[in-house]
Formats: sequence, structure tokens, C-alpha cells
Amino acid sequence: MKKKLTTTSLALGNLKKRKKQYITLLVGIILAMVFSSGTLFFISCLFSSQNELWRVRYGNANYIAFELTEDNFAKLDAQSNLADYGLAHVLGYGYTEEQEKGSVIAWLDDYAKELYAPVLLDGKYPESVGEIAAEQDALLCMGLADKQIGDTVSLHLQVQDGPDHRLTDAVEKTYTLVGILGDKRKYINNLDPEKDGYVPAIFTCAGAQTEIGGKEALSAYLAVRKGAAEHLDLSYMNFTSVDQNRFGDAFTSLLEKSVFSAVMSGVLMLASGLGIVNAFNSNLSERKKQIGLLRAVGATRRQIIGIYGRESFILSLISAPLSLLISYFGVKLITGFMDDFVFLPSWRVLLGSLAASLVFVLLASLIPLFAASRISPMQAIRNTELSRKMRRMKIRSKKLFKVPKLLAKRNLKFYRLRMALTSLILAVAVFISSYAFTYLLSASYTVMFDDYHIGLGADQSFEPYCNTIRTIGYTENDKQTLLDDPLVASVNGKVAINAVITADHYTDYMRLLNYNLSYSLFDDDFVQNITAETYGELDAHEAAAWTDFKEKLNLTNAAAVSVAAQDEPVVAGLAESVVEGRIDLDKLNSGEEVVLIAPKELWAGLHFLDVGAGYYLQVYPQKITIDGEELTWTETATLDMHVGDALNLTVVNIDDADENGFITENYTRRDKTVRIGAICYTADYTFWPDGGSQCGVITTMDGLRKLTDTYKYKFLNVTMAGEVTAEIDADMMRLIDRITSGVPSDVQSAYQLAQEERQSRRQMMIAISAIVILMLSVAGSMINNALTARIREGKREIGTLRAVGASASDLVRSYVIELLHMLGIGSTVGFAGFFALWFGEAMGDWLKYHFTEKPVFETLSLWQTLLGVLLLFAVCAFNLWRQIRKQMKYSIVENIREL
Amino acid sequence: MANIIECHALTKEYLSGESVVKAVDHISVGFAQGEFCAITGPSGSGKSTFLHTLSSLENPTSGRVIYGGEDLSKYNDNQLSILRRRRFGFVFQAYNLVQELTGYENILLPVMLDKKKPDEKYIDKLIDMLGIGNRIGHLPSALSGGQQQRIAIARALANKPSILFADEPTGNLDGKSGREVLSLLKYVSREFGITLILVTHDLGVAEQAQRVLTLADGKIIRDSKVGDLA
Repeated sequence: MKKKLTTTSLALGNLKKRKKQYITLLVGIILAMVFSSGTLFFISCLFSSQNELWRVRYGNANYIAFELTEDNFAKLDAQSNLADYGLAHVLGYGYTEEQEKGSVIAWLDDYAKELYAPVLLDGKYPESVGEIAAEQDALLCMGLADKQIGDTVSLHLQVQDGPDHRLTDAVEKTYTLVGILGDKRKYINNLDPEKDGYVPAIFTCAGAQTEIGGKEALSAYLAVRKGAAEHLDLSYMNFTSVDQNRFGDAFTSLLEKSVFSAVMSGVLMLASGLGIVNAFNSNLSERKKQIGLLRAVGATRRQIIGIYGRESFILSLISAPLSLLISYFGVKLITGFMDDFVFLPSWRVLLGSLAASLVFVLLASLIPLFAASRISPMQAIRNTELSRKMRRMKIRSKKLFKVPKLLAKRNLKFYRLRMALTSLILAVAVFISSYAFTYLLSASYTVMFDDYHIGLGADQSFEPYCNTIRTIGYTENDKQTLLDDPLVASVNGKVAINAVITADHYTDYMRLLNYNLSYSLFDDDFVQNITAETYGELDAHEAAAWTDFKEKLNLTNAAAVSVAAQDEPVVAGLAESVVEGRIDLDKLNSGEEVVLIAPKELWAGLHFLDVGAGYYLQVYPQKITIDGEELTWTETATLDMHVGDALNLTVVNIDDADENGFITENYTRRDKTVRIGAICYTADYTFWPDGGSQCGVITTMDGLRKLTDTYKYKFLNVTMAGEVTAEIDADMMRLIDRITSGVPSDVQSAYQLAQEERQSRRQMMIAISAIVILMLSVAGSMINNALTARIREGKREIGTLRAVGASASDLVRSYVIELLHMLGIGSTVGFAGFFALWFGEAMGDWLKYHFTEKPVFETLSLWQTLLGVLLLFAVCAFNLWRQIRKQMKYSIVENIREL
Repeated sequence: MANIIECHALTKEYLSGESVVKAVDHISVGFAQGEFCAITGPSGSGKSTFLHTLSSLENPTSGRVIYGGEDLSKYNDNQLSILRRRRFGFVFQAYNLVQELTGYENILLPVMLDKKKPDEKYIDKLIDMLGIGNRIGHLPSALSGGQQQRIAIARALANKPSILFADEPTGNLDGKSGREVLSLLKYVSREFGITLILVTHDLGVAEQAQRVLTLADGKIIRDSKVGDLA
């Protein structure tokens, strides 16, 4: 019995008979499916890694509420927005005498343990009294980094005595270290340094009691119901938020890495999609006659789509398992090389990836399918469309011609849409390639003047006119520890504080200095809506806190300035910039003199930001333009202070401010009159650790001590004696870790920065090369497919030409000329586009700066692109030769009869 | 008269499924200079295949083709291409014009492939003779079947060949056009002294030839001379 003829059996018949032709298509489909499912795997990996990293660094809690009173514990218990909470029983604060730094010691109930999610790196969690598990950073800051599991640890313990209170006299306690935990306090501390003394990092066993005379305090780890975070009110208690939005650099880098991979995968997916469209197109155009015949015997458009759609569906199904396996293990392998990545795809992700890749392939194949189904039977069988197109075109006969050239020219004319599309893809590839290589290779590396920068991670300043008493930073001991390392050549410490200068009368220059800090010293609403018309009322709109500050301290005619102190050699280096007087280090050290940094002129300007956004008030040392636009200049002042003039400096240190930002009564004040020893109009930005200042006072560290209390260093810059190697860098980072433990810090290593930049550039190079190669490959495959399809479609023409005496080389030459045209047009357009952008960018910059500078042209790096195009030509030409040779194997009669 | 082309034991076999079909079976025959010979026979008798193997459009399975005393089986592909463009002319049933070239360019094709300067007088004469002067600037898709076939004849003659091979040249044409084309073929053959070897299944056409070869099952079953051209 004969099989029933259905669209499926027709599709299967096609698949069986055209195995060879389908191999290329199958490879394309597998690639497209690999890239599409890979993209989804990467996205899922981002989420799983983000959750895992969050859990490892911060635990599962959304908030931590510290040392709760009975009252706020009751309020907390009544909160309906909490999903869960667990309690930490705080027993006290443990520290070592040598380091004076330590950690809260507590035990966690089961719920708290779940929410805090301690990561055990070594040993076990404490099970009996006298045992502790400590976070790595806690051990480091207590100078106990070398302790092993089972070692005895002696600590001073300030015993807890209820919420927010500890007994004054510390007791000696000895514990056995049974577990080392991954850091969590360090990360939470970086988010909120003020809670340094509250987050426990040393844990004892459940049920441990406080020492005699003490009373435990309860801290709570809180998990909020989904979507209820906004409704949770914790304002009545001491708490910190462990919010994912404050995830910081680690998350950003995770996101960047993942997005980069996903984008790469996406680009590859699109390119392979284009490849599928193209491959199906060629495949179907070769089978136009079959489609035409089916249409002629009554197949509807829907049936045509059904037959060929089933083919692609069957091909996709065949490819799916292999594609998913490749993408699964590919992503697993790649993420294995990336720090912090956890690849845990669920069944949902796997099924989603399978479905997405199937849909993607089907969608890509539908484009040519729809086009093919629109062909009328006669059009398919006799290619009437081309005949019609030819008839519409005006052709002038040539009297003399070279056959290959004329044939190529005519083909380019008749198939110009296909050729233009191919050239366009190539043009885009050439443009991207030229742009990427030129700009990537000319990007300069970051220059660090020192080998290590150690700086405070969080801004500790309160307002630009006073300082907080509880200043954190680095001590002389820290600096000396670094200097004691034989490989360290020098350590430069920087301190910057806020101060106020006062004078007999309020000069224009002082007023403009204050305008420079308009965001702090004047009413926000007024400053944000200031215009040229309302500018005159600025002085009447001082911020209430600034007015209150001046009244409380009885300061009149005051201007806020920065005071920066650096080591002597650095201050001495300012000599080149001195415009009046000279730098006398002895007088600076004695506190008799200071160096004044003040521009010769100050200009207050209003810059109109945007419609509706109002003006922006800023003070500049000279008139400038922003984005080619002149500012509205409202006021100017000339420097009226000279060498030898007395400068009244007032330094105020406050404990805290009230809810209005007014300083409380608990403050200290130091007034000092110094002489201006030297004046510089400007100083390098490195003198201003907080950045942005144009005017201020600079002195030496000793000089600063004469002006005010001893401040800790905000920055330590380390210069090494010799070249830094990987081992030296690792040693230095360990040393710096010791210094910065317990102090939220940003540490930059020039060695690591260079390594990272080099690695990142290498990765970029690989990525861009991959994208460029892929785009060139897509362009190449489109060119190849276009020409190959035409060779196959044009068998009869090849036969005719052979019959009238054309040799293989005549035929190859004709197609190679077509190829050269497509490559030539694509490359020319691509390079022209790039040159226009390259030239335009340089000229744009030049015009923007009003012809003051010569245009800056980036060094061109085009050889990579040229090489790519040449390789493309070689590959395509070889393929053409191969295809023609294949046709030549048939006899002329076979060519002509299109057997 | 000496033969300009002859074949000895010319055989062409095809594979049809698992069996071998002998389309041309050991044919030995010669054709004189300026002769007009029609090859006829029933469908599937091997007449077209014989023409194709004789004219080097297809390689024979065995046997030899001798042209001007030279054994063509010793020619490589390039030499055969040169021979086709210089010494042979072909006219096919389906015209086989290059669709991207105009009529005039199609006519010049063999001359241009040979990188020669065309003999314009001769080409003009051909065009006049064939009556296609007003259509040669058009692409084939804009021409009728008869016009296309005339251009194909002009192309076949453009390089002044010594033999013109025609495979059912009137097969696709109506009676009037067919008669006109045949007259033209006879005329140019006589005018330029060209050997015309023409395959046809139309006895009316065959009757006009000086010599008629009748094929059946790949063999010549009759070789008859019908006298001088009328």
C-alpha cells in the first residue's frame, strides 16, 4: 500500500533527498540555537549569581535593627510587613589591646542564622560555651589573622549591659577558635560605616550568657514581605538597610561581565539569525521551480509554508538537544572562569531556552518562507519576475566588450538589490571593525602617580564649614607600618579639613568663595531656581544651618574654605606655582604661616541647564563657555589678599547635628591667626582630597597640628622602591588589608589597575575581533550564498557560455569581478563612513573649543580590517572557483538541460 | 571529398537506475565540407546525444571524433573551448541566449570570448540576412521565439565556423517561423560553405537535407543521400 501524501511526508521527503544541502543549514541552525539559548542561560546566570553573591556578602536579611529596647521590640513584633526575623543575642564587644579594634560578640538564634547566612570557610559553627567562630576581617583587624582552627584566642571583652550600653571595665576572656567565617560585617560596614560598632562578626554558641554584671542586648535580622519594603517603618530604632540597590562595585562588575557576555551572545544570535535567513533564502531560491510546480498543481500559500516550515521545524527539533548541550556546557565553562558567577539553571530556564531557540529559528526561517510562498507558479518556473525586471531596464548594446566584465556588470545591475544588501552588511562590518580597532587601540591606560592609593571609602565630612569629631582615618602608626616595609620608598599622607576664614569686612572675593559652595550655604530651593533676575537676592537666602552656625559661633564676615595638609616634600613641590612670597617650611611647621591657594579672579556665572531645569550657579577662575555656550556672568572679584596679610582661621569640630542640620552645643572651636606666606593661583587637584576646591589653605602636617587637633589621614599614597611584581603586590595588599581592616577604605593598586586594564583590553580585543570576524563571516556567507545560488540558478547560462566557447577561467573571472564589486562597494562605504565619523569627531572637538587647539585625530588602525576584507575575498574567490569547477564537471548538455 | 569531421565507433552510455542505456551505439560516420546532413529518428533513438558527442558538448563513453584530422579525445577542456568558439557553431531548440546580454552582444559572444576584433561587415551582413536589424538592441526576454532563434543562428555563425550543429532548431517555433529559420540555415550554410548537421524529428525538414541519417536504438539504420539542395 502506498503511503499517504501529506505536507509532513513531503517535508520529510525533501529532507531525505537533500541531505547534503541541509548540512550547512543544520550547522547554521545549531549555531543560532546555541547562541539564543546561551543568551538566556547568561541572563539566568546573572540572576542566580546576583542572589548568591548577595547571600554570601549580606545574607538574606533586608534590614538589621540594633540593640532593641523593649518598646521598639514590641513595635517590631507587631509589624505586619515582616516576613521573618531572627535575633542576635549581643554579649559584648571583643578586642585586642594591640589593635584596639574588634567586633561585637553575639550568638544567633536559628532564624537569625538563616537570615544572616554565615559562610563557614573552615572549621565548624560553635556548639559549646567558650567556642567562637569569627569572620576573617574581624580576625585581621584584631591582629589574629594567623590563628588556626583550635587555637586559643584571648580578648578584652566590654560586657554588654542592655541596649546601647556596655560596662566600662573590660574583662579578659579566652575562647577557642572553632570556625572561620566569610566576611559580612566588612561589606555591611562599607554600606553604613556608622554601624561599625553594632554588627557582630564573632559568634558564640546558642544560649551563651553574658558575663556577671552584664545583660544581653537583642539585635534583629529582618526579612520584609515582598513589595512591603516601602511600608516598613523602622525610624524609631537604630537600624541599617541591607538593600540590593546599594550593592556596590561587585554587583556592577558582575552585571557588566554578564551583560557583556549576554550582549556578545545576542550579537552572535542576531548574526546567526541573519545567516539562517540567508541560508533558507538560498535554499528556497534554488527550489523555486519545485515551489512553482507545487503551486501549479494547486498547493496554497499556506501549504507551501506548511511544507517548508515543517522542514525547518524538523531541522530545529533535530538540532535542539545538541544545541542545548553545547550552550549549557559552554556557559558553564565560561562562567567557571568568571569570579563570583554561579550557574544554576532551573528546569524552567532549560525549557524556556529550548522554546526560545525553537521560536527563534522558526521566526528566522519564516522571513524567506513568506517571500517564497508569494511567488506565482509561472514566476517560479520561468523566473518571469526577472524577465519583467530586465524588460523595464534600459540597456545599451556594447560593440566591443570583455565577456566576463560585461556579464558581471549586467548581473550586478539585474540583481542589484541582493548585491546592495550584501554590500551593506559588509559596510557595517568594515565600519565597526575600523572604529573598534582605531579607538580601542588608541585608548590610553590610566596613569597613577603612586603605586598604591589608600583612601577613606565613605565621605565623613558634615558641611563644608565644620568637621565631625568622630573622624575615622589612618594613624601615624599605620603610615609607619607601611614605611617599615623595606620595599616601600615613601608614604605620603593627606589630610583635609573644613574651616572658616573671617575678616573685618565681607569682601566681594569672600562672597564669591561662598557662592562656590552655594549648594551648602544657601537655600536649596532658591539656588535651584536661581535666574539672572533673582540672582541679586542670593545673599538674603542663606541656608538656615549656615546662619545658625555663624550665630552660635559669633562669626561675622565668614567664608568657608578647605585646609589641606601634606608631607613636607609635597608642599615644597608647590614652589613652582607660587606667584607671590615663598614657601618657608619651618614657618609652615610652626603654624606661623600658611600657603594660600586662590585664583587671581573669581567669576560667578549662571549656566542655563535646560528648559524647565533652571540655572546652575558656579564660580570659575576665568570666563569660560560650556558646550560652546557663554554663561550669564553676574559678578566678578579680584584677589585682595596678599603675602604678609593676617588670616583668621576658625576650625569647628562638632559631635552631631540636629534634625534641621543645626549644630548641637557639643562642639569644640579653635581660632588661630596665621600669616599668608605664599600665594598660588592654583594647586594640583591632588592637594584637595575632597576635590573641587579652587581656594583654600595648604600647610604641612606639623603646621596643621598647630592649627587644630590632630586629624587622622584621609589618604595614604605609597610609592614603592622598585618595580611591583605579582608577589610584591600580593604582600602589599596583605599589609594594606591590615591597616584598612575596620576602616571602610578604597584601595587602588597601580599594578592591579594596569593588570585589569590590560586584561580588560585583551578581553575587548577578543570580543571585538570575534564580532568583527563574525560580521565578516556573515557578510562572506551572504556573498557566497548569493553567488553560489546564482551559479546554481544559472546552470543553463553556464552551459550556453561553455557551448559558445567560454572556458572555466572566463566564467570564474566573471564571478570574481562581481565579488570584487560587492567587496569594493561594501568596503568603500564602510571606510568612508568611518572616516567621516573620525574626521567629524576631531573637527567637532576643534570647533567646540573655538579653534584654540588643533583637531586631535586618533591614530588609525585599519590594517586589521583590510586584512579581514582580503581574507574574505580569498575565501569567497576560492569558493567561487570551487563552485564553477563543480559545474564544469557536468557536461555542457547537462548544464543546459538543468538536469 | 574528404570528411571535415568523422567519428569511429562512437558510443555514449547512460546509467538509468541500475541498468546501462546505450544512447549511441558504436556509430562510425563522416561528414563532408559544406554538406547539409539531417539526423532523424524516433524519440529516444539517440539522435540528439549523437549530435552532442560529435560536437564535443558531451564526452563519449568510447570511440573517437576526428576533426580536421585531429583526434578530439586528446583535447583538454581549454582546447575544446577554443575549438567550439572558433570552428563550431551551435543552434539549440530552446535558443539558449544569455539573458543578461542584448541580441547584438549575444551575436558577438564567441568573437569576444576569442578576444578578436569583430568583422563588422560580416556581422552586419549576417544581421541583414537574418532580418533582425531592428531587434538586436533588445534583451532576449523582449524578443519572440523566432527572433531569438535568428539571433542564436547569427551567434553560431559570428566566428565563421566550419560546422554548424543544430539540435531541433525549429522545434519550439510555429510552422511559418520554423520554415523561415530552416531556409536561413540552408542559405547561410550554402553561402558560407559551412557543414550543417541538423537533428530533427520532422521528416519535412529532413527531406530538405542532402543527406539523411536515420537512427534507431543508438545505431544508424539508414544513411541516404537525397540529392542537391533545392
